[in-house]
Amino acid sequence: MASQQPDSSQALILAQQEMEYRVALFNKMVTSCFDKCIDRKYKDGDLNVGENSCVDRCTSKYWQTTGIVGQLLGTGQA
Amino acid sequence: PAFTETIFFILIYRKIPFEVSAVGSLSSDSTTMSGPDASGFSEGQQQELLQAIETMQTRDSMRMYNNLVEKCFTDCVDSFRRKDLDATEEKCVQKCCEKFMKHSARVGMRFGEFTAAAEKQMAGLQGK
Repeated sequence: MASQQPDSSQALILAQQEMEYRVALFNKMVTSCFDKCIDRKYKDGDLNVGENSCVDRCTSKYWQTTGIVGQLLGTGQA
Repeated sequence: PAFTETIFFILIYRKIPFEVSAVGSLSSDSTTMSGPDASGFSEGQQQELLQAIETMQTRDSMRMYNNLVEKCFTDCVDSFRRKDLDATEEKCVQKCCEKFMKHSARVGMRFGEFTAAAEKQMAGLQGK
């Protein structure tokens, strides 16, 4: 039984769930990269160049990790 | 399989004075809050969605506020010989907040880029 499109009430729920997922993902990304990249001594109110680069790379790697885990979870259930 | 939704949404944080980030609002495509298939939703449902977004924003702002306080307190305050924060601790908390918010904004920027790229990919896969 092919489902071409979820009916709109289903789609609404899906959309809300996806939003919640995204917000959680974003928040975890912020926390993880903060813990890994930012010096806890707070010498300055700004991020220095090193921290900026670290954050950029951290977010990239986090995103890739999300992809891999998603893939594996998907195939694991199939 | 998980995560095959065709609907993507963008959240913009504006509830509390400090702007945590504009998730996806810096993506090249759009600054709207509805994805490509939002036209499939009725007026009432779009309202419902917007309401849900608002609720989420409020809840998330409060959660973030509490987390930030805890984080900066944990990192900056260690002695309890006095009941008032001393100048060092106060400055530390200020810098902690500034740093976190700037960090969060930067992550938001990158997050938006990744999201936009993924959306493009999805659209391409669907032959749109």
